[in-house]
Amino acid sequence: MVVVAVVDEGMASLTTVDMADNLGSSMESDGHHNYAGADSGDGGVKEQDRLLPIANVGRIMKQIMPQNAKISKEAKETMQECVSEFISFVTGEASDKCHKEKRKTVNGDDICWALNTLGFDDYVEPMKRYLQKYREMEGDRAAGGGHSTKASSSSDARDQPSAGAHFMFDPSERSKPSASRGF
Amino acid sequence: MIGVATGVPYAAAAAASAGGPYQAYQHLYNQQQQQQQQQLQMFWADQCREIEQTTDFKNHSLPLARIKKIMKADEDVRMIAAEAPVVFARACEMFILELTHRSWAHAEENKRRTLQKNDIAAAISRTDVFDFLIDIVPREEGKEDVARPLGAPPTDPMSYYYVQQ
Repeated sequence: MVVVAVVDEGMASLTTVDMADNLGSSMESDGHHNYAGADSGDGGVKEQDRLLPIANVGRIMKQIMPQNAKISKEAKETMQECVSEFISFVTGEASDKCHKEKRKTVNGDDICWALNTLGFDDYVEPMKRYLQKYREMEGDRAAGGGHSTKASSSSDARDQPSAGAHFMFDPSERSKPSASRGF
Repeated sequence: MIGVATGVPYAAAAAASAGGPYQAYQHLYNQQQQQQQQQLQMFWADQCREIEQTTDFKNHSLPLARIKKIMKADEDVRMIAAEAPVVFARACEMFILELTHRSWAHAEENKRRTLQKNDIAAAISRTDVFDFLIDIVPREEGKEDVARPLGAPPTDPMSYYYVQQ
C-alpha cells in the first residue's frame, strides 16, 4: 500500500497519510484509494515529483562555482538525483527514530539528529541554529497574531495560535486520532 | 573563488622529492588536498555566517511542497511538522553546495571549466559521508582523469610508491 498523499499547497483539507489507518472506512466511498499515484496507470509517483526542479538545483550549484564555469545538463540531473537521495536517506533515519520513540510526527530536531547520526557532522550545528531561528521567528509571528504562510500548509497554526505552535500535536505527542489535520 | 591554486611550486616539489616523480606527485596531491581542506573550512564558516544572518524563512531556494512529496515517498513517514521541509530546504541547499564544491575541485584538477557527471562521481567516491550516493553514479573506470597522476589518486597516494624495475 502506497501512502503518498497529494499535498495541495493552500488547501486546508488534505487527504492525509495517517488516514491510512482508516482505510476501508466511508472516507473513500467510491471504492478506490485516492492517493496520488498509488494505483494510477503510471504505476507510482511521477518522475518529476521525486526530484527537485532542475532550475532550482542548477541555480544553487552556480552559486558556488566561478562566474565563467559551466555545468553540463547531465551533471545537474545527477545532482537532482543526489539531493532526492539525500532527503530520502535522512528522512528514513529520522522516521525510524520517531517510530522507536512512538511519535508520529517527524520534526526539525529529528532531522538534525539524523544528520548527526548519518555523519553529516558539518551540517549539524548550522542546521540546529537555523531551526532555532526559524522557531523563534514562528513564535514571534504566532504571538503577534499572524497566521501561517502557504509554505507551512501542514501547520495547524491557524487553529492553534498559541506561541510555539510549531507542531501538529502538542510536543508531548499524545495521540489525537481526530485531530489529524496533517498531510 | 574556488579552485586549486595554480601557483603550485613545482620546483619546490621536485626539489623536495629525493626519489622519482611519484613523490613529487604525492607532494602536489597533498598540497591540493590541503588547499581543498582550507576551502572547505571556509565554505562551512560561510554557511554558518549566512545562517546567522538569515531572517527570511518564507522564501526558499527549493520548493517545500516538493520536498514534502519526496519525504512522503517513504511509506513509514506519517506526519511531518511544518518546520521539517523548511529545515530540509536549507540542508539540501547546503548539500548541493558542498557536493558541487567538491565536484568542482575535480573539474579543476582536470583543467575543465564545465562541471560534468564524472566530477560528481569523483567527489562522491572521495567523501565517506557520500557513500550512500554510490549507486547513483557508478564510476566508470579509465574514462576521464587524463591528469590523474597530478590529480588525486583514487584511493591511496602511497599506491604510486613502487619502484619500477
